[in-house]
Amino acid sequence: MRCDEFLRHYYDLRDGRLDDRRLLKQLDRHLARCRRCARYHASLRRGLEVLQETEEIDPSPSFRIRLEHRLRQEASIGDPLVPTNLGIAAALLLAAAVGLVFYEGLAATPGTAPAAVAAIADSDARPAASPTFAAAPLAPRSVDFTLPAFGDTAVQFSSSSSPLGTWVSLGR
Amino acid sequence: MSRVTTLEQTAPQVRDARPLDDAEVVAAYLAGDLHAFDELVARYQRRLLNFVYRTIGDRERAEDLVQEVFIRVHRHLHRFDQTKKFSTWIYTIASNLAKNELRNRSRNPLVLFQTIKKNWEADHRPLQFEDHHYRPDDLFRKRHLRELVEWAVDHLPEHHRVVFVLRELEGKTYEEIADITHCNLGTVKSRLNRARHRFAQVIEPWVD
Repeated sequence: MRCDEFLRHYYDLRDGRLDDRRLLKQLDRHLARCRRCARYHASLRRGLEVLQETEEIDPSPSFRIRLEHRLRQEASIGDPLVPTNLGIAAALLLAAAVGLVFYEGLAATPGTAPAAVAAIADSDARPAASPTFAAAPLAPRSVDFTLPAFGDTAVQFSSSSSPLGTWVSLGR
Repeated sequence: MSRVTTLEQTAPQVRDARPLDDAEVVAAYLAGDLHAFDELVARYQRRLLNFVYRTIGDRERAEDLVQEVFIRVHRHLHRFDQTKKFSTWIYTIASNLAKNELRNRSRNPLVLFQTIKKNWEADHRPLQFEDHHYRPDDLFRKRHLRELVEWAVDHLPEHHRVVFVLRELEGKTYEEIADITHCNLGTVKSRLNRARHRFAQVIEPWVD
């Protein structure tokens, strides 16, 4: 066996991961005859012994105090993965807002126009007899409701829409 | 409800004659025994500190990272797959944090290039004996084998050092190291053998 072959199998030998008896015998024989490989083997063994004897370090005395402090901080912030009451309220609110905007979009499409919008369309169709037609249609429509309370949080939702746009306001 | 434990408090209340294994301590904590977390800290703080310290070579920073390990364990323990080994999971967190630390340090593009080049060369060169006449200058100043050994570990490439420390100091199996480092067994074996080879070559001229 040559030294490079020995080196190729050496670590498997060292870790007890070789079960080929013939190969084991060859490696043993090489180790017994080759001074260079024997020295290499002794060096690794000695180096690892010294490394494993090296004194371990201990956590500083303040380690646990600091950890406890950080854990308390963590608890006061709350687990970000668990939805809080406020989080649930916000999610419901967002869903309501999206629904309303969607509803407003549908309402603005031809054929489904609400009365105020239809009035504008009618007035456009007629010759403009009077500029006062805008007064009624421009009056905003409002929707106000309050979500059920979640814990100590109640969320008020208010939406106003007019031909100029839709406003959504939230309050606690 | 807050799951924070008071770390001065004692370990899990429910005890039988034999000590609880990690899986049982984790289960106790998840079942509401708040003291169980303290037991996990007691079991792993020293081991993780030494592992991270060996990996990054900075004691103070190692303490900060081990604190972060426990914070993450506390935050995510409810998602831990209890069919897996807890020690592998916690070492994976520690290993990832240590690697991130080393990566952040090597943000300098020149350092990064040199590291990649060195690691690539180390991974692809066949194992062979090195010329013993070559010794880094600072090694001549080191008189004691212990210092030399520590120097040798510190100067291993990062991904070699992690597997070397896990195997030779933490006593992990190849399979556990593969799980911790997210590598396959072949890569673990290759990195470990190259780390040992390099380590042996540094030590060899100084061993009688």
